[in-house]
Amino acid sequence: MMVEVRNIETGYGELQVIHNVSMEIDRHEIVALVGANGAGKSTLIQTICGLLPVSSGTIKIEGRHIENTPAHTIIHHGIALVPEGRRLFPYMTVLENLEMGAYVEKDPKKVRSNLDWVFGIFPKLKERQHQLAGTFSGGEQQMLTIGRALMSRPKFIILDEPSLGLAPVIVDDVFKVLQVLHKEGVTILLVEQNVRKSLEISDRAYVLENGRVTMSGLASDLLTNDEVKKAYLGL
Amino acid sequence: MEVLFLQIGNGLIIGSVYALVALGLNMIWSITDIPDFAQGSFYVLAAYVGLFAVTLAGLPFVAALLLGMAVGALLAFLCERLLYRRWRERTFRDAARVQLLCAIALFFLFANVANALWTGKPRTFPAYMEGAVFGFSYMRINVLIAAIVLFVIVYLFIMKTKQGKAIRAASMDPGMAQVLGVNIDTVNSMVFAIGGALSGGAAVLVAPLYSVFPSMGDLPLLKALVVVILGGFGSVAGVLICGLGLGVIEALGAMYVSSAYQHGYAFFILILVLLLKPKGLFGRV
Repeated sequence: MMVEVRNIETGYGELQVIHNVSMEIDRHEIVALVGANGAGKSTLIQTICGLLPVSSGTIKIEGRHIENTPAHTIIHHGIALVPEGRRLFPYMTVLENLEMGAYVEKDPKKVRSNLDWVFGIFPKLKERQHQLAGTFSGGEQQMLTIGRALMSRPKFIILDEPSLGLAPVIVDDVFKVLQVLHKEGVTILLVEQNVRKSLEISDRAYVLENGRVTMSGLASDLLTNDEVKKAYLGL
Repeated sequence: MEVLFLQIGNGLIIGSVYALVALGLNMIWSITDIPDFAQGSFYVLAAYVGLFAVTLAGLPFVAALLLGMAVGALLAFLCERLLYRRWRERTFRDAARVQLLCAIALFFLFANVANALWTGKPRTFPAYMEGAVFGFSYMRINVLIAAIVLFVIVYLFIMKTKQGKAIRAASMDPGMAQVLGVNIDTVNSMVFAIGGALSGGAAVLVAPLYSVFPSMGDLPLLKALVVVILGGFGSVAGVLICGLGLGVIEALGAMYVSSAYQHGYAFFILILVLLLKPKGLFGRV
């Protein structure tokens, strides 16, 4: 098992957002996390990444507990995050942003080969590596954000709303990249407001409502589920 | 004409002192959100340490300078490690206010420690070099040269090294930097130590030109705060230009308007800039 989330409760100070959520992601799976705005998706992700402490419950990555460990140690477990809103370092160049993605990698040769791998997936980043990240368009920034996450050669990558605010053509590109990564054996947790598209490429999915998991199962089953159709697919 | 040249030169020299203190303050402020007024008292303590290193231990000036920088770095590091960090770890609403009060308290505390230990009597820092060129003593010129060298070192460190890039990343988005493996505690320790070293270095550099006394840090601290606000957060070049510029404006103001207002010009400019361009003159580099 790549990721095991067991009965976690978390929130911000007094405000509890996540109630008794459990979730499992197997190696090489793409799992979609579906839910309305404010359902707690981002809170759940921040908790997995160590940015928020859990008040109870456990999170395990490949059998090792990571709940309540400092955020900067999480990457050593092979986790990478493509955060909502991209959160690039705008006053750093494309290359520097990518280098930050491999911050914990001590061997310069590995950094170099990871960089070549990322440039292979996103040739445009190579052409414009000395440009400041803040001057990129939204779609380019999203590619750079994914590239930065890949620089640590993660086993498990979490993408929070990767298609938000992007033109439809670019959204297709993002989903193509996810399929490439899936083929390379990367485990993926995908949080998307584009529910149809994310269910189409996912193996399984969880539906989060008001901080609780209300449905889970094969993505193909959820695509035809009446409640999912009504609430998230606009049918 | 010659007087004008001399005044501009003297302005650049005193401005480089403001710029050094401001660079440390700016880095600390933009990364940790703490306006570390205590830097003004590290300045004082480093000046005394430099003075004693030369007068009591008989060390050469360069050794006294390095010692002053080390003392500044150590004090700043310890204050962050033992005090500021506690408030940051407890994420309550008033943490920022407590840190601000703590910084102001430390400033008065250390300045008064200096007063208690060594009295308020100004002490002369012995000259370490004779001679002058174009009317500027070598000791004055050294201040400007050393300041520029320190600026270049800091600039290269934050632009080119891995640790420097982590500092910049943390200043733009601390949460994301952490997810990428940057330890924010280490970053904070680094910037405080750098800031303390710059304040300490500025103090020892300028001490032989004036004298050493417990309130010698007041004006450089206030001017450095003005420079930080004028230069904009996170801009190394902005700090250097604003620091030197402020020194020159003070010198020229003293010459052409009135020397009675010499220390007021900084705040007059500050008010103007805050009214017209509240984000500072340079934004970010």
